[in-house]
Amino acid sequence: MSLSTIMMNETATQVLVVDDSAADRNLVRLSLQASTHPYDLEYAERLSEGLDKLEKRSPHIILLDLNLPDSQGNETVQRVTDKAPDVPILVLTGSDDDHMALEAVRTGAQDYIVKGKMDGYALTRAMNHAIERHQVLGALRQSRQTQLDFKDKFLSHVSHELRSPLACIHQFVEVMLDGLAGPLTAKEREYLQSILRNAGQLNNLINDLLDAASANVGKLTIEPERVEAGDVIGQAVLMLGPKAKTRGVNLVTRIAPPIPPLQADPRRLLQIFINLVENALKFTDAGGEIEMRASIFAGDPTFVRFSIADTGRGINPENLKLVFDRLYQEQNAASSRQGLGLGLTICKELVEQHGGHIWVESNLGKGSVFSFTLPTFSLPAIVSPILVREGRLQQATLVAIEIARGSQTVTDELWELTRRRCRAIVERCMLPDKDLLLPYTLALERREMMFVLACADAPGAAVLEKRILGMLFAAPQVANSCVYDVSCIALPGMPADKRQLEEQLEWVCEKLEKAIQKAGGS
Amino acid sequence: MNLSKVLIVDDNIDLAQALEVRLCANDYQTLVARDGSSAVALALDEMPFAILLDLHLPDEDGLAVMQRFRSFPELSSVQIIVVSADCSPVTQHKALEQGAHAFLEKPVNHHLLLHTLRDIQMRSTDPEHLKATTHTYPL
Repeated sequence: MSLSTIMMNETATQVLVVDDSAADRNLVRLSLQASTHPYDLEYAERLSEGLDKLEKRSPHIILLDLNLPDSQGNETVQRVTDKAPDVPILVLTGSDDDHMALEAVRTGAQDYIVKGKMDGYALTRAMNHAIERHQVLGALRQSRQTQLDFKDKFLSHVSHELRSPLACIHQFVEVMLDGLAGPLTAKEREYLQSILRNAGQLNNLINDLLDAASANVGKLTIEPERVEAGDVIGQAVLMLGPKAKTRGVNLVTRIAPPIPPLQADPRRLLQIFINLVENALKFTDAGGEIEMRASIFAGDPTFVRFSIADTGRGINPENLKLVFDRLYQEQNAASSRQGLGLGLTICKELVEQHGGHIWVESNLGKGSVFSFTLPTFSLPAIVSPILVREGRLQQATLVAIEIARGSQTVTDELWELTRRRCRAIVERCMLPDKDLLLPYTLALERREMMFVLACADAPGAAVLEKRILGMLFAAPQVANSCVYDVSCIALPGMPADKRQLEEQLEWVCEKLEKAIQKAGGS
Repeated sequence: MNLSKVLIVDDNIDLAQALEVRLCANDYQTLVARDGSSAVALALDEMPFAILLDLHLPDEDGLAVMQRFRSFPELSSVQIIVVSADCSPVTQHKALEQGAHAFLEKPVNHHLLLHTLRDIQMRSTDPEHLKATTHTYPL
């Protein structure tokens, strides 16, 4: 409620006073008594008591002493704003801690008042100011959000509109290149190929725009699975090596020592590498070098640290903080083709969605190092939400789904479509809190295996098995392009000796991994 | 049902034409509709065996058009291939779940398109395939 509404209606302003000193509480009460405006006061001596009261009823303002028996200093403000972000806070402070009061305002309080210098007029003035300031800040945030939402909707709309004519250009050029409009001269072929290449590049830029728009509304999706980072780095080198070579830049990798598998979305990881290496290419002159490194993160061994280091021009220290901002463009790019300035923003968003961090170090004139961390794969962490109920490990069965290409005529693209479809079917058969599609896919020659961990005994898992079989059988596209088989693999029972839950979980995961390896070898 | 006729539903006439050229070169007959309503009417008149359906249509959402196709029993064996520039997992999932035979991203990969069409033709001519698709597994 805004201050003017409260004041005009002459409804009582509801105030929660959180202060452990009876004298100070009294001081507040006496100061407000003199006012012509009615105040409805409620008191709490401890923070926990205050938070309880906030839960039951939301006051118009909180008068908050920072040093309470159960909470001290800035933490008090933090805990109150976490609980009730919509209620303005006026900090009551002793005469000697202006510094702490200012910190409190930075954390989320609206204003502060020194208890020793408090009279009725000063207190009501500060309270009015706090309520009004809170309201103005809220309106500001709201309007900023509306603007951002609008911008993103616009961006998403524009990108879709751009795509359609581009698809048309692409389609017709392909028609001509395939000779469907008559024979081509060598020159015509060369020019058409150039159109096709550039249309492809434009399409990539539009994808960036779409990604950035979804990133801003928190809709950039990732599908993490168990990934060997080395494979993805290899793919990136394969894709970017030729481009680096034409620029006269040496692209090298250094992965040492062998790094554990990651819990990450492989396509997104590739996108991060491509964006970072392309960014490095923009600022590195011929004769320079770009190195892709991977190692276990020294700060936390459950993370892997990746770095892309270049011998380029480096970044001005004052611009270091800006490089991950949307639409930021460094001015001294080596190439005229600068892109949209979205690549690094997308990288940051993707890394953070994975639970990692991204940062940059740079030496002007010597080069930059972009680093990011991604979590390593941990099976116990993934299976525990399914397997642990009320602190105890549940019985589980492993269901293996094997799919294989139906015939030689199944192209790679159709196979990709089919396996994604199979995956979607399997996911639709599962119960969300009982079954889990494990992040292992064994890609073997012309066939592939997926594994579902079913939190059920053998008969229970057999029902799931039948459901998957039936759905695969009924799906028209699957039937024609692949053959499939579904089977249950019983996991050995729990060891009799009493172990900690954590050890049990690790034990089960070990058995799981063994069962999966065995299934792949058969 | 005509096993060489394909209906293309797209409001971008140029794009529809590009697809027509590609399909005609591979011995298909093509029909083009620019919006959902005329697509349904044309499908009922001409009985194509497959429909290439854009999701972004001027009169209504492509998925709603798909539902309308599905409401005519005489069109029940016509396969719908969704063609869209929006290839987000959510959209793909929705389209497949509502009964699309396949989902192709724009610009359309013509190898994949031709393979998918041949797959549908084969299924319609081979009674064994037909049996397989209508069978439901006993639970």
